[in-house]
Amino acid sequence: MKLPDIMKAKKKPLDTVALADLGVEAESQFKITNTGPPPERQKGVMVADIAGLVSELKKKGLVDG
Amino acid sequence: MVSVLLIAEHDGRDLNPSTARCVSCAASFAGNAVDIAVFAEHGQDVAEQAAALEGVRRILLIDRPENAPPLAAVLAPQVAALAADYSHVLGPSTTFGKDLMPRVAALLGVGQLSDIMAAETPYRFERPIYAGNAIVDVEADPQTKLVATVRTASYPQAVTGGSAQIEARSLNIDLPQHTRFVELRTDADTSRPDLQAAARVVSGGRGVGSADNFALIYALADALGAAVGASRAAVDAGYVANDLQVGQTGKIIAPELYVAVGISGAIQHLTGIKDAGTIVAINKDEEAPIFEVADIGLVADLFTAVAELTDALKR
Ligand SMILES: Cc1cc2nc3c(=O)[nH]c(=O)nc-3n(C[C@H](O)[C@H](O)[C@H](O)COP(=O)(O)OP(=O)(O)OC[C@H]3O[C@@H](n4cnc5c(N)ncnc54)[C@H](O)[C@@H]3O)c2cc1C
Repeated sequence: MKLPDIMKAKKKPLDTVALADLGVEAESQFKITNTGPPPERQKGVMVADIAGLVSELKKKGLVDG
Repeated sequence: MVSVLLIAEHDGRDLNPSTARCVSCAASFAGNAVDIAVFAEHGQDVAEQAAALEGVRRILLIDRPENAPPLAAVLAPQVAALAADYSHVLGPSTTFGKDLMPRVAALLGVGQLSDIMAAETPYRFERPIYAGNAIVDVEADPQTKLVATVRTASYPQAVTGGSAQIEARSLNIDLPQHTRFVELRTDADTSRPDLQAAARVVSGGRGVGSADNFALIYALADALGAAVGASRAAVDAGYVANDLQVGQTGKIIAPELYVAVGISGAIQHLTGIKDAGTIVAINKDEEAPIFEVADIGLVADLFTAVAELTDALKR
């Protein structure tokens, strides 16, 4: 977009319409009452190898054995 | 009186687990005033699965040929007609629910509350904004019918063991003719668990390196009985189809086990897995942010580690 175009755009008619004249209700059925941070996940354990990984999975009951 | 109409998601044969998760949400604020609507053709089986969910009062079965494919344009006016008897209309925040519920809200002339993650009262909810980076408390007007989607990842599945009665309903309304089901074309592999419903998911990222290398991910997934997912980088690189994408612009999931392989752990990816039970990360870079959220982390080259893990699980 070039500056002359912006200047031209400024000359365009700009109508203001009152909300009441549109016959719509702008009331929202929802109200936000609070905004906060989400719960964080905690860092877990690091394992050294596949055997360690499998044993952690077993501890959590995610694989048999 | 608070009463919930919950729209069942199903494929004509099986009830999708998203419905059982929505039941947990509905029951948390509406007690046992929870009815499930099953729109289907030959939907008796699906209705019976819904009836078995603990905490459900009644199943409404709207059985007609037009309801065989889950077309939002066709279902929405039927849901809107049934909604007259209820204070709340709920659906899952899955692709199905995100397609259907806004149409229902529009037909009822109300707004939609999206992604309920907790209900304090029937008209006070928590929902995520900014892709889960903030949580807002929202109060809804009790005088207005509430149409909402449930963030399924936030709720466990309701247990089975119930025996709600099943009522056949016929709705005397004209269905739209402007939209009809033609054909479903998919290259989705239906022999594997569905990503959005699976209890276990193995995802591959850019680190996997190619579409061919994804065979490693599929093999590990098979050994675990898991669905396959991917990061956006893996999808953008064409390793897998984009319906496998997990994250802010993909699927938000809550499996009991999530294994991230060769995924760095960008915030937009983590948004999709925050509610997973256990997150396992395999990455060669010990500084990768995925390790900040992983319950079990392994710093290793995925090309050896994944094959080794697959073998270990098969034994
Ligand atoms: C608006 C917006 C929306 C987005 N939505 C999503 C979304 O929904 N889902 C999503 O996933 N992303 C999304 N993204 C993109 C996101 O920011 C990241 O770019 C993307 O998640 C990175 O994917 P990746 O982890 O696979 O790739 P990278 O960040 O490139 O990470 C690759 C990882 O693989 C590791 N690696 C490489 N080789 C090996 C090996 N041999 N062995 C072990 N590890 C290896 C590397 O150490 C690295 O950590 C979004 C971004 C934006 C801006």
